[in-house]
Amino acid sequence: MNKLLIIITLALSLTGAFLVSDGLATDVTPQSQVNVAVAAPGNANTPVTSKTLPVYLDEDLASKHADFSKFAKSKISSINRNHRLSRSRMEIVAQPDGSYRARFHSIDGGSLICKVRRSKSKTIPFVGVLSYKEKIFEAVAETPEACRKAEFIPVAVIPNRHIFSFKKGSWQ
Amino acid sequence: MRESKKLLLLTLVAVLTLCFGFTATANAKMVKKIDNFIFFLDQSGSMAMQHKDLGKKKIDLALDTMKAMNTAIPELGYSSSVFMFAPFEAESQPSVYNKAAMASAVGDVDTDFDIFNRRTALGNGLMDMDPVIAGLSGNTALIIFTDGKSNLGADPIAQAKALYAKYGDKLCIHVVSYADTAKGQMIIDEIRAMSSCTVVADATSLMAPGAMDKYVAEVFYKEAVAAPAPVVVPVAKETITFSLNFGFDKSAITDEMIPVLEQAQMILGENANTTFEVAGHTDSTGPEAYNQGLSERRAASVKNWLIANGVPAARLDAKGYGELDPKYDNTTSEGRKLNRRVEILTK
Repeated sequence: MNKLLIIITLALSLTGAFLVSDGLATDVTPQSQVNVAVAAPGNANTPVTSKTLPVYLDEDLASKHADFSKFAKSKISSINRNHRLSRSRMEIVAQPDGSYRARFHSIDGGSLICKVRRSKSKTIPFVGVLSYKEKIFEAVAETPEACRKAEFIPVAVIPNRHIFSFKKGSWQ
Repeated sequence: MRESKKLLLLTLVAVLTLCFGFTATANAKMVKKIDNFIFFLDQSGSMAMQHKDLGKKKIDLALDTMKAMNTAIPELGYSSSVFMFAPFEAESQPSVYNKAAMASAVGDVDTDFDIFNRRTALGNGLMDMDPVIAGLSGNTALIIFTDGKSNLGADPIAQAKALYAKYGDKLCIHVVSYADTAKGQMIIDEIRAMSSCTVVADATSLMAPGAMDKYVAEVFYKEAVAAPAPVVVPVAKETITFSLNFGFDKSAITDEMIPVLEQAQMILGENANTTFEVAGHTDSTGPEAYNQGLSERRAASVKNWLIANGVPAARLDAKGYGELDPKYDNTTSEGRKLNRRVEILTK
């Protein structure tokens, strides 16, 4: 019976189930004294104008941001629709082993980040930067037709930033 | 009798071994991307108000998201904690991530508070969060659940920037947005735009089927088909694109192009060690040789402007591709317009 108990103990130990990694064992507690990261203070002598107003207080910029965000969504639709390697125009290439590899590009609609800034120009008062992730998807199959129906997996992500200007009341 | 007891015990050992073995196999498929994560909930007065479009209290929406996220996060030995701001409070101090403990901490958040006299101090909240982040070792994901309103205290955008300046790649700030105002959304986007590590999500996007699992996979772990080599989707070099709307046959920089070029110059300034290729492209209208020359002249103009405005020449190359590298469909006017572009490619 004792031998059996030893066998059981040994077998359970070998499963590793009761081993705790360093990460798990670490008791994480915040330090008591830290030099807090603080942004540079503003200059109290500089009068606040629409051009020196911090972004987070700028109502007009917020309104332009909302406007640019709408434009950005339609621009992304246009880019997806017109991309030379969009899903509907996917590239299918024969492989040396006789199979086919299909590839298309698509912008992840959930990855859009918009940023708007004032500029010094009178004719271009705002500039917008649209950040997004362009994903490349691929599938491999025996025939081109099977490729189109196959499950595509992302093989690369291209980070993009697209700069636009606001001129005469519209983004371009 | 003795033999049957022996057999029974051996069977028990085998079953236990298989059970633990399967658990280990399941976990082996996920490799953690971060060491610590912090749920950082906005409990200001505006969060106790109904979301303008979703018709539910924003803090309730945020707690629903946090609960769903907790369900989807794998237990990979992260350090986890729950903090709140406006006012700043610790609901759960950093400790080894455990679903049940996290569910309990999220469930304990009081949502029945007064709206009035409870202003949003997002910037101050980020300052208060600093000592918590400083106490953690490894990479940290700070996941903020907020409507982005900030009407009291420090500048939240400047404070987020200060945190990135202090922690660099060791910190990634993700914001789950409950914004229902233009200003709130702008502040959230400003924080998101500070680092390419951030994963974008909002109250509605995370409700879509499979969206939470995708979000958790992007923020918390990598998939590994067979240990030890994890399958990682490679991130290519960044592309910066703009259209300068040059006139017909023109390549000179005009005043109207300067705001866009200044923005490009600022992006190039984010990393002083990177080198770039300035690439000029045209659509397919006109002779190929003419388009080639035009794209070269335009790329050179942009490169020269950037050098004249402080970008070291050694960091820039200019190349014209003419009509030979279209990114968009040249058979539509929309596609041709998109093809007339300047790209700055990270080398």
